[in-house]
Amino acid sequence: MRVLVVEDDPDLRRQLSETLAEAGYAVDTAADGEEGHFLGDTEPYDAVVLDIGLPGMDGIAVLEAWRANERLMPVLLLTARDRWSDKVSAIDAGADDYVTKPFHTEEVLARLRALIRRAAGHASSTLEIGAVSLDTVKAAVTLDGKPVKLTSLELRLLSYLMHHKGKVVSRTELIEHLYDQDFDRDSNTIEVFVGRLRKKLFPELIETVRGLGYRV
Amino acid sequence: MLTIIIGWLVIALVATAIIVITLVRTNAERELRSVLLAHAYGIMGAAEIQADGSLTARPQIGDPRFSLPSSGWYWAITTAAEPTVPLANSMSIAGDVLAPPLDDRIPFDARFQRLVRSKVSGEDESRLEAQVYLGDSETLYQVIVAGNRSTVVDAIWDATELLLLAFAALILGTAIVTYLAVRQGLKPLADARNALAAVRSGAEPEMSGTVPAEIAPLVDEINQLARGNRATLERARHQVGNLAHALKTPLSAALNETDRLEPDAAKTIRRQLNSMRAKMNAYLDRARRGARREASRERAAVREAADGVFRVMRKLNPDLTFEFAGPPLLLRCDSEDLSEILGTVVENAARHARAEVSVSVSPNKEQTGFASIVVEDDGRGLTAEERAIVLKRGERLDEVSEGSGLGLSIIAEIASDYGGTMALDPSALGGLKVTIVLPEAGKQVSP
Repeated sequence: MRVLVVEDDPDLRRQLSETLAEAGYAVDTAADGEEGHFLGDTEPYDAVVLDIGLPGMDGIAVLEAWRANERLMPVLLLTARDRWSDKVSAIDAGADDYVTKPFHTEEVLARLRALIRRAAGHASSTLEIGAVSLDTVKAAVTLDGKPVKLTSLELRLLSYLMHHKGKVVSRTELIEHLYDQDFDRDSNTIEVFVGRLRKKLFPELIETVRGLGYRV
Repeated sequence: MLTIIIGWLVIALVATAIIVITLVRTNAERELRSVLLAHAYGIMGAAEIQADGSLTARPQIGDPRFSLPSSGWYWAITTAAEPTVPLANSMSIAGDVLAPPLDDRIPFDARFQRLVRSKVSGEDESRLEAQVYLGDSETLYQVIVAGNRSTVVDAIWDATELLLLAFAALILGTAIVTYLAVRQGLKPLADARNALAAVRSGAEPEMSGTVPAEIAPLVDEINQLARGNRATLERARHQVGNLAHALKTPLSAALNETDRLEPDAAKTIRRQLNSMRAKMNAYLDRARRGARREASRERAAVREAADGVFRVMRKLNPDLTFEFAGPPLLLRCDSEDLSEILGTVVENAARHARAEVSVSVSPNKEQTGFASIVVEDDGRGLTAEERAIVLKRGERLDEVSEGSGLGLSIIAEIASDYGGTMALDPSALGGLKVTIVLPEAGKQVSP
């Protein structure tokens, strides 16, 4: 799962990206509206945390530009304005949810998880396939009720595949959603992680679709 | 202004009166003198000098006043040498001595005549004395004719009486006309004063109505001033808002950073930061309430506000249904405040609803000029005690922590700022029924 954080305050940006990274997300950050707009317009994010009050292009304008360009990823708006009229304009601009400042980063994380889940069409916070269960809130995986230890990238890979259950996911798509922008990408590593997951959980969990990608 | 006009009028009238009375008096005096002179010539013509040098005169003067004693009218003939010894005289005076005039030192003019005053009959008299030679006599006689001055005084009084009557009518008429004219002239100013009072009380944003061209620039200036004041106030409120909102980002960063501190320090700093947030909110709230008091001309459509709130709620609560019912009503309320009221109440209802939140609006049956907005949910509702607690929690924003119920007490406060109310009851749907009463736009409010 790859998310974008657009926030001009450097401390808040760092706090958000740390919290989200700890929760297992690949995080990209942008410090202003233009950069944020460009990243969101070109990179495939699973969700975006977008501040409204940005220098240059404000958050509402960025969001409207994305939506006008058919960029439909879930967007969580951060706003200092907490009046209902502000909430209405946020939702009307295409936001999926909003968090008013001041907030705790944990709240942003919880809302973001819910948005990603909802976007994938899951109502419950726990995703299950066979004996494997993924708690999206705790970022914990169990096999037959017993906890399984996964590295951050393994967790991201499993989480992405489980969120898109039944769908063939290409290797490129996986790379784009597992690594942040600055990561040195190598498509062979995907095979390595898939192999490890099969070993830690059970081999039939991830099916290889020749020439297309993977499916759970 | 009125005083000055009437003052001038009185001065002009008094001057006119003096001139007119003087003219009347002069005229009456001249008249009297010419009557006396005519009589004097008559007496001179009738006087006869006998052979012995004595004088007889029985002139037939047709004026009966010369026969009446004390009439103030008399005549006499004396010698110039002895003017107090009448040789002949009218029947109106008796005795051997004729009293000299009061002002005996007045000289005779070139025609040997003089006009003097006397009081022979006890009346105030004008007396014409003419020195003549009668017949062939060598004696210089003095012909004296006196008339009662009451004719002059009467003429003056008659004239004065008429004048006073005319002037009184004139002054009264002028005063009334002037008063009406001035009041009519000043009416726009009185209207302007009322309009200005309405601006000051906040009932009107600007002075309105048609004004005469003379004071139109003044009204324009006052309106500019009012506009300027309003803009300044609005800017100040806006700045309060900007400051408060700008501080929320650093506040977020600071609050999050306390996670890294050891618990005691974190607790203190969090408490302080929360206190900062509460104070910011309190001032924001105060600025909004100030704006609310001036927003009496704002109007907001219930349907529109509800639609906006529903768009948000449907996005965040896809499993719930939100229903709206009622005519398209306009409320006398700021549209942001109406969104705040509906949003907070609907959000609260959605939090407790199982499947449905309904909003209905209708004109209030008990209070004309007001509309009722009813928000209901099908949740478990509140007990009577719980409802009382929610309503009682009317503390100010900065004194209560976040939590359920807080929102509703703020809504009650906003509603009351607009002269409205909020009430909680059990709903037929099973949950809570919140009724908010707000004034309708363009309706006369019943007392």
